[in-house]
Amino acid sequence: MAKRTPDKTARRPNRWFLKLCLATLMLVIGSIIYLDAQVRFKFEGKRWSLPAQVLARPLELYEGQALNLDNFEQELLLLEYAKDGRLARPGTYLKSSNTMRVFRRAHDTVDGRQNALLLDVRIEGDVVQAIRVDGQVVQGIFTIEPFKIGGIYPRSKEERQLVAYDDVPAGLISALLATEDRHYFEHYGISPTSIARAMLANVKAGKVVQGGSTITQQLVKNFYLTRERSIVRKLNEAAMSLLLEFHYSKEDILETYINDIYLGQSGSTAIHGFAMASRFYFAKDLQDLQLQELSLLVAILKGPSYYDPRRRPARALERRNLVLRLMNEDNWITKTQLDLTKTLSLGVTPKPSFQSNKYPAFIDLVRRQLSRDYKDEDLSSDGLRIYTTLDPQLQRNLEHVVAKEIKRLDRVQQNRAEPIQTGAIVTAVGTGEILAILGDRDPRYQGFNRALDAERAVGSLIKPAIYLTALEQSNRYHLPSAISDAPFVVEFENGERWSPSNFDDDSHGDVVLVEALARSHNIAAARLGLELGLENVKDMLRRLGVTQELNPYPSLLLGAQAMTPIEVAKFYQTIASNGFNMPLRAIREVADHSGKLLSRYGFEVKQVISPQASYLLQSAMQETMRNGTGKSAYRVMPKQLVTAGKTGTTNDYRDSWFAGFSGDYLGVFWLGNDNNQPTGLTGGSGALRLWSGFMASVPQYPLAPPRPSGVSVRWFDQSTWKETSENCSNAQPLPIWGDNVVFETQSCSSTSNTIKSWIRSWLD
Amino acid sequence: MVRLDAVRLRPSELLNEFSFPVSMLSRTVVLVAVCFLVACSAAPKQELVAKRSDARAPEKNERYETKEPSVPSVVMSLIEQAKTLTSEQRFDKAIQLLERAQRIAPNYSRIYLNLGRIYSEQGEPEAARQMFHRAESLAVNEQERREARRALSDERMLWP
Repeated sequence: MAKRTPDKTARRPNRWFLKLCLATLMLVIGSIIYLDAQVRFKFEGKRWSLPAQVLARPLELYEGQALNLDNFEQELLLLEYAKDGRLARPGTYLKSSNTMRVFRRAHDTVDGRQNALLLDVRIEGDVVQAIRVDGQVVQGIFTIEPFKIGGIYPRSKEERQLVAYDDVPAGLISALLATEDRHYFEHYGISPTSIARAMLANVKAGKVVQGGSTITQQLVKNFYLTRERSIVRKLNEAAMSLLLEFHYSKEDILETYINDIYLGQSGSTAIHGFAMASRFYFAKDLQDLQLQELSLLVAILKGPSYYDPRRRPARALERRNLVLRLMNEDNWITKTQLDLTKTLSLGVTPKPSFQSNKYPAFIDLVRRQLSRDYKDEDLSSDGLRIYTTLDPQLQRNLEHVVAKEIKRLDRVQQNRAEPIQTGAIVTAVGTGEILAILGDRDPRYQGFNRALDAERAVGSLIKPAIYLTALEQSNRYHLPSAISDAPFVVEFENGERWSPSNFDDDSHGDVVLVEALARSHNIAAARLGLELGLENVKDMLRRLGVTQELNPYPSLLLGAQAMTPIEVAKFYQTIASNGFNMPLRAIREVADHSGKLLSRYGFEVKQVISPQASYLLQSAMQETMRNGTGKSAYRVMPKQLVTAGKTGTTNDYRDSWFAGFSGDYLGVFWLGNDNNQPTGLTGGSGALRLWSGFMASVPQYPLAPPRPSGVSVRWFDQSTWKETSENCSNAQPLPIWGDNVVFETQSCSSTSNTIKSWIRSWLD
Repeated sequence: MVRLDAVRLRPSELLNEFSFPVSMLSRTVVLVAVCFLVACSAAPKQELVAKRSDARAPEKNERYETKEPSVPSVVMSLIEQAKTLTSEQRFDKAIQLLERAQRIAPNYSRIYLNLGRIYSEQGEPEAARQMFHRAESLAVNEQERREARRALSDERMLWP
């Protein structure tokens, strides 16, 4: 008993100690569990945020396809196919005068895996005649892999370029290891020896000169938003590093580091990751960088602003060479390599190249349609594949033609205060797919997208809506119906007056409907519009697909109505597709990372105009191209390519518009100044040149709508517009809706007229 | 012309490629041939304008002629496949194939006829009707027009 007493007293603090230990242990375990959850959450968040991949339409090859050999070659070059006569590996091609031999790469489509395959495609007259595999003609559709336009984060709208570990150049990894963490592949997340060495160096120097952080620790540091320096934080970071290493492989951690590390700043956009930095500093893909470039990126990682190679080239060069020396010390590179590479210049592009994708205007459109048409939940899974409608061949031709024409305009109009701007959109007439788009005179410009956002007065582009309103009333109006082009005045209740005038300031007296549209007479259009009723014309515009607020005044009839090019495209799409509304789509399908399709938005149509009225309007718009304001298009377009279209010019030449279509493509082009200053261009001298240049660059089918029942072809004298006989020299055909329509007739014109028309046709 | 000699079996490595089985192939060939004959008798065929074409503008009297759209043979086989899928109630896949055909030959009336039939089976009468209207507006001969009109009136009987 006596012995027990001291025992008891001795045991009491022990028990307290035990309890304390237990509590601490619980706390530590608790915080480890918390940290563990934290670190996994953060890491997964970074790691799995694979962007959605945006893909162009795949080129489909089949017999009977319209395909130009040169355009085909350009697409292969875009896909980085190499010209190589041996055709020994996928990704090579050989072009001859009428055949493309292409060893296409293996790829995935919505229909599954497509194998690498050597295809022999014979093309004549811009039509695929036969496709041979192993010398045998094979029928079917063969796809070439789609061009990867870029990656987007559908939710955050942020663009990022990522690289998979296997695609990281070996030189980058060795440079990172040599410079940042020699023992990366040996340690468990923290490196006591490095810490000890760093401490020693810091004590020696009397300040912090060296950090002992491993790559893992550096990554963990980025999980926090603030840059706090405290012991608790340091300990937390160390614990999290250990936990991270416990859960994930070295490769996974390094990959995330390579994609996450901060490497520079472009305005408000932070440059994260080596893939993006590679584009930013060198305008190249990471995979294409050489040793001197890779080592520079690793060099600036320590302080992207302090070592900025554009502003502080000497500092950057010095540190790059340090990286190279360290690499040599660790035997990653030889002495010869070191000596050679040391002498090389930095090689950064003078201006930051922040072109993360080739088609910014299109990506912009895709992003908007994604958020409009798809649910957020659907877009939350990672690694989505977005199959779009972009046709790289058409896009290239569009860019080419516009660049050439803008260059010419810059030369002709040198006294211009600011560069002339443009917006353009090309769609497929039959499907409403958006095939090519331009939001700026510089196709790589990421910013104000004029094709989608520039609201400009449309001028005479509005007129087809007026004439269509008339042509729907088949008991009153026909293409050869007379309408007046005589000047008039509208007086409003408030005493204001409105008196439209013609472009040539001349009245044309009595004209016929088809001529008035083809030659774009203002007075006739305004008169007709008022006769039909402003409300009816507005109603027609809405039926054609215009959704925006409409100007309530008669000036609407002359196009005092601002619209964006894409809004005009919606409106003209309905005209081009014989009176059927169809949504303009940039996205075909969205699949998740396993290839499973998400709910899709397929083709939809709604008939809003009778086929007969549409047919008549298209005929009048064909006349615009043959003999009216669009005639000059045939200076560059083949005569055989039947098209329909309309020019648009606004007051003082502020806007130059053209909208027109063939059997295959609808193109809407706008030219103007951002500050709304005059351009000196009419629709015909400006935008029409862009349109016709583009149309001439692609093989396509002419406009040939089937003639609807109830519409017959009758012949009219070209000058008097009286019905006449087909054999008369001055006769031209016009479609007429209705069986019992009576027109004034005349026999073949007198001899003098015949001679006059003969001379005219000869002069034409 | 339809080149019967050109139709061969696919090589074995093409298993994943889109191409069609022989029985369907022969059926398709017959179908194409029939359509071709109909086309020859009914209306002239649309001709592609090549990038550098120096062909003449259409004559005046050709201006308002109705022309047969160009329908490559793969379109026929896509339609056939879609029909099979439709009969198996695999509507989404069938629509996908028809839309693929539509991109190749957007002016071919029968594509819309088949799309309409699928929407009809899916219980979407309005969408079906619109497709039939589209089919009718693109019909280039009496037969196509009749088919579209019949489909439309059937649809109206079903869902008045």
